[in-house]
This record gives sequence, structure tokens and C-alpha cells, in this order.
Amino acid sequence: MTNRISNKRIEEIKKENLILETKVKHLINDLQLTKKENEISTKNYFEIYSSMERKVEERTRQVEELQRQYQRAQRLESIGTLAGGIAHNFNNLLMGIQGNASLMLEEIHSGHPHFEKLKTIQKLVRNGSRLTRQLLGYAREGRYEIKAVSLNHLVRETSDTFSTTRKEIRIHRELDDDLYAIEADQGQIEQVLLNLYVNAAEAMPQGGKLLLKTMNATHQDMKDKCYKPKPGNYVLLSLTDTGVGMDRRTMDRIFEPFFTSRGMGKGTGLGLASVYGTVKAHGGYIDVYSEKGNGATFEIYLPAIGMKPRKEKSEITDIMKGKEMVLLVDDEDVVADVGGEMLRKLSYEVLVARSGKEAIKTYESRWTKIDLVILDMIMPDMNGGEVYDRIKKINPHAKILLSSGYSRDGQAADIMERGCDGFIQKPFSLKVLSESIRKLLEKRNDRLS
Amino acid sequence: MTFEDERYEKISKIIELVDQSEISSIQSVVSGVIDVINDPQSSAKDLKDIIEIDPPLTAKVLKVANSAYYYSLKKISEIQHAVIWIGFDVVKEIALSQKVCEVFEQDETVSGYSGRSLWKHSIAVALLGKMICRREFGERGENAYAAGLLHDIGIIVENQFLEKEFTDILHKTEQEKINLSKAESEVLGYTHTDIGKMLTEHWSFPEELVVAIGNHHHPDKAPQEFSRFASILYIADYLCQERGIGYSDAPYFDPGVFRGCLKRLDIKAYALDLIVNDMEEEISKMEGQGLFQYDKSNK
Repeated sequence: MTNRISNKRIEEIKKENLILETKVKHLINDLQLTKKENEISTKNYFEIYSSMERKVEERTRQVEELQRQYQRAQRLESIGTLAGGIAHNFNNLLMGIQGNASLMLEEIHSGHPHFEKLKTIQKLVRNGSRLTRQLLGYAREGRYEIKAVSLNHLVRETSDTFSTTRKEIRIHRELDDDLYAIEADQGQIEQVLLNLYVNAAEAMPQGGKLLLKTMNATHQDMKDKCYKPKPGNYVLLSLTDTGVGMDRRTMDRIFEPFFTSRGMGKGTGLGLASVYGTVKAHGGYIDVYSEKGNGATFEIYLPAIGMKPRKEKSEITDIMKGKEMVLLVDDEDVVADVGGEMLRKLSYEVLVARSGKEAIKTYESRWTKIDLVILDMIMPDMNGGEVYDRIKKINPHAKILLSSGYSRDGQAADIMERGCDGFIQKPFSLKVLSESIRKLLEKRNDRLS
Repeated sequence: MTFEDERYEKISKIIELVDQSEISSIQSVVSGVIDVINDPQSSAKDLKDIIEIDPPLTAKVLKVANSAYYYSLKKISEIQHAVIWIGFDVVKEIALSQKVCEVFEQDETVSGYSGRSLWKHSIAVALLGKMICRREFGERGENAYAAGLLHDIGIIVENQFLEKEFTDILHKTEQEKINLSKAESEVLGYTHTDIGKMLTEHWSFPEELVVAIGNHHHPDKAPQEFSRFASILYIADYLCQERGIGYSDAPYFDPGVFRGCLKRLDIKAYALDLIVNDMEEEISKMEGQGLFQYDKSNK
């Protein structure tokens, strides 16, 4: 009896044991699989995590680069303001010197003992004004003579001229025949090109190769840049030299005025600064790529227009006189005096106003007699823009020639856009003044006839 | 024309209809996930790509992944996160079941049969098949899961494309007290296993799946290399019907075939009992989470 019970109990225990063994087997199998799956999940997790980390690093780098660019732009901006201010005052001084020298030259013969000295003064003024033009270019101003031009044409002409002066530099050109035209100030773009050639030449004192390439581009080609280009077509000019190259620190500051890596006394340090300013003023972008010892590449993008460039007629060169009445408005005594005398020299009847208010008063009372107003942009009491509007209100057909050494906030460009008739950059010579006036007055006659 | 050829012709015609229907819409996702399962080189990204081209599926997967059933600690809002938090394998399973479920949802209720009851049966077979593989053999059992979900897809096809015949078949099973396959053979000349086999073959599923689905009533007829897998599917199907989970197409069991399968796989009946108990617990947990609810109103 006891035996049978214990036998039965043994059977039961055996059976329970079997089930427990199965359960253990099931659990072990399941756990092992779960462990494997966890390992895969962990692997997945780290893969995703590390790719996210890479993304964060990349973004951080981009942000840092943008901040650097922004700081650089700000620095350039403030230096530009300073440079522009200096240029403004300097130009007015030059105007006085230029005007007085012009007048003296008119009164003497070429045999006069002072003739050559006066010519030298004029030449020096021209050199001085070239310097201020570069400063103005840097300050992103003075973009007034805009027309459709062919960049290829400018590159060909300037590089031909340049290569005759620097034989040790071989220039290669790869110019796209179907290049779009650009809307630009030809003189300024020529200056940009020459400055870049000079810069390249200075990087290759032992001679070397300069590759000039042009091609069409769109804003999409520029999407990897740090800046955000305005959508549209662009013309790309790239200049690659085989010179000494530069390091990152130099590259960061290369467009700053008076910054030079070539020691004081060599060059003005304004060349690339004015390149930068001019390109910006034309709505373009400029990039530089370089490595120490490995040459440098400058890339310039200028907005393209869908127009073919037009051939310009050559300018008339003689001094032309006239009998019309001219109102000269300028708050600077030196300019007003010398300007008035220059006009009289050209046989014009001259009225001078030394402030905006005075100009309006004079114009109001005598506007039927006044054929032309030469108007300074920046005056303390009333700025050129306001005077311009008031005069146009009195007489919508008034002919106004803007004159300026520099306009800090683009007022001149503003007024030009409103339909002003002409612009003359101070300092101006007798010849330039006479041309500007005739061009304007004859334009009126054309329209009336 | 032989009897075989004639049957082939008939089923081919039905498959043409299937190709133009809603059912075929599951094909690309389902074969994509099955490819991921069967390719050891595949990654979580491949799976993510497959799921994310199907926005309703993505939403469903995320809904299930966020249910209490998977104990996710964090709100999961991306497939990628789901892969991390609840696991690559689980996401494969959810994607597969949610996609296959779409075709079951369309089925109308016909005397004793409904898409819903067949779905419950199918998911139970899938789960059980997988659990047998894992616990008894230490294998991942992902194909067993897929096979379980799809083994009765032939019934869905019949209900949608042979509506009248299918009603007749169901009446016949009730009146004559016979299994579905027998009634199908008498009315149509073929069964839902034939349709399932040809359809999954047409969809280029792995041969293992095609053979197991085609032989889920006769695992002994499967070729040697697939007989083990077919037997697992048979056992899972058999046990779910025995326990009365969801729809049953073969209420009149054949214990002989079942015992043959146990022998072939060297599994003890009491071991299976343990697994089935756990499976039933899972199923009731899923039901508790509303994972069987058809959102017909949302469609």
C-alpha cells in the first residue's frame, strides 16, 4: 500500500520534473533569442545615435562658419563706413585743387613757367581721386554708370593690357562664348579685374600661370556656399594663380582695407577691398580658395541679364562751352567757389546756392530762366534728395545734374533710379564738367524737338 | 485538359482578379518585410523605408508600438524610434500583421464566418508558430509568424471573388458537418490552400512559405526540405482550432496527421500545452489592448 502510494508519488514528481525541465528549456531558448535581439537593437541604437551626432557636428560647424562670415561682413561694413567718410571729405578737397588748377591752366600758355607744375598738380589730383574711387568702391558706392556689358570682352581687354606689362606671367583664358551679359559699371569692373591681376602677380614674384575662366551659373550652383544667393542667373569668373597661396587667417582678412600680407609700403592694401566692395555693389558674390604654397582661386559671381551687350559710342573730347544759365548748389565753399568759376569759364551764366534752402529759394524765383541745376548730394540743412524733389515739384522738366564725392547711404543711386538725368563724380575737371553739361542739355533739346 | 491543368486555369483567373483588387495592395509591403526577414544583411533602415512609403501603415505601426502591450516608455513618433525602443523584430511583426490585417478587414460576415474571426485565428497561428520555433528550437520564427498570418489568405480570396460559391460552401460545411476543404473541393474542385499557394507563388514569396501555406492541411505531402516548417504551421493551426481561438475551417480533426507532425519534430504534447497556454495569455492581452479592433469607421 505505502509502496504503491510512493510509486505514484514518484511518477507525479517525475512528470512535474519533466514539465519544469521543458519550461526551463523554453525560457533559456527565449532568453537567448531576446538577448540576441537586444544586441541588434543596441547596435541599431548606436548607429542612429552616431549618425545624429555626426549631423549635429556638421550643423555646428556650419553655424560657426556663418558666424565667422557674419563677423567678417560686419567688420568690413564698419570699415567701409569709415573709408567712405574719409573719401567724401578728401574728394571735396581734391575738387578744390582740381578746379583751381584747371582755371589757372586756362589762363596761361603752355610756355608759362608754371604750366608743367600745374599739369603735375592735375595728374596728382587724378591719382588721389583714383585712390578715393577705390575707397568708394570699397564703401559700395558710386555705382552709377550702369549698362549691359560683356564680361568676356572686359576680361580679354584688361588681360591683354596686363600681360604686356608683366611678361613673366602667362595668362590662359577659357571664356564661355555663350556667356550672359551683366549689368555693370564698366570702369569699376575693369578696376576689379586689374586689381585681381595685380594681386595674382604679387603672389607670383617669380612668374607663373594665371587662368581666367568664365561660365554661366545659377543660384543653384552656389547652394553649398555660406551665403544665400538671390535666385537667378549669374556669370561666374574664376581666377586661379600658381602663386604662394595664403593661410586661413590671411584669407579671413584679405578683403579688409589696408590689410596686406606683403609688408607695409608695397601696394595700398586697398585693391582687394575695393574688389569686394564693387562686387557687392553689383549684387555679386566673391569667394576665395587657397592653401599656403598652393596658389589661390578667386571666384566672382555677378548677376546676369538676358540682354546682349551694346557697343558704346566713343566720347567727344573737346571742351564745349554754352550760354545757358546754371544753378550750382554746394554747401562746401571751396567747391562752390571753384565750381562757379569753372562754369563761368565755360561761358555759362552762373547762380550759386550754398545750401538746400537757398537753392529752393533761388529756383522758385528764377526757374523759368534756369536751364540746369548742378546739385550736391550731401548738405547739412537739406539733403540732395529733398532738394531734388522740391525742384521737380516746381518744374517737372527741370534738368538736374547730381554731383557727389560720395554718398553714404546710396542717396545718389536712389535719385538716379527716380529718373535723374546725370551724375558727375567729384573731383571733376573742366573737360568732364563741360561734357556732362552738354550731354544733358542736348538731351533736353532732343526731346523738345 | 487534365484535371490539374483545369484547376490551374481556374485559379489563375482568380489571381488575375486579385491583382486588380485591394488585396494586391498589401503585396509590396508584405514581400518587402518578408525580404527583410530573410536577408541577414538587411537593416532597420530597409524596414523603415518599406513602412514609411505607406503612411496609413506607418500610423498603424506607431499606434501599436505605443500601446501598453509593448510597454514603450517613451512616446514613439517615428519608425526609427520604434526600432530602437521596441526592437527591430517586433516592428517587423507589427508591420506585417497590420498590413495583412487590411485585407481581413474587408470581409463580410457569412454564416459562421467573418473576417474578424479568421483574423483572430490567423494571428493566433502566427504567434503560436513563432513561439514554438523560439521555445522548442531556439529559432527566431519570423517566417513561421508570416506563414501563420497568411496561411488562410485563400479563404479571403474566395469570400471576395467567389462570393456565391463561398456562401454555398459554408452552408455545405454546416449541413453536412464536414471540413471547409472538403466542401471547397466538392463545389470548386480546389481549396483555399491551392489559392494560397498559387497567390504567394505569384507574389514571389520564399519557397518555404509557399510550400507551407499550400500544404497546411497536408504537411506530410510537403517536400522533405520544407516538411519541418510545414509541420510547425500545421501544429499551430491545429492547436488553435482545438482551443477554439477564432475561426475554425477544420473542426473535424485528424489526430493521425498531428501525431505524425509531433514525431517528425520531436515535440512532446505537454511541451506544446505550455506554449499554447502562454500564447492564449498573449492573445487575451492583445484583445485587452484593443489590437483586434477593426477601425471600419475610420476608413
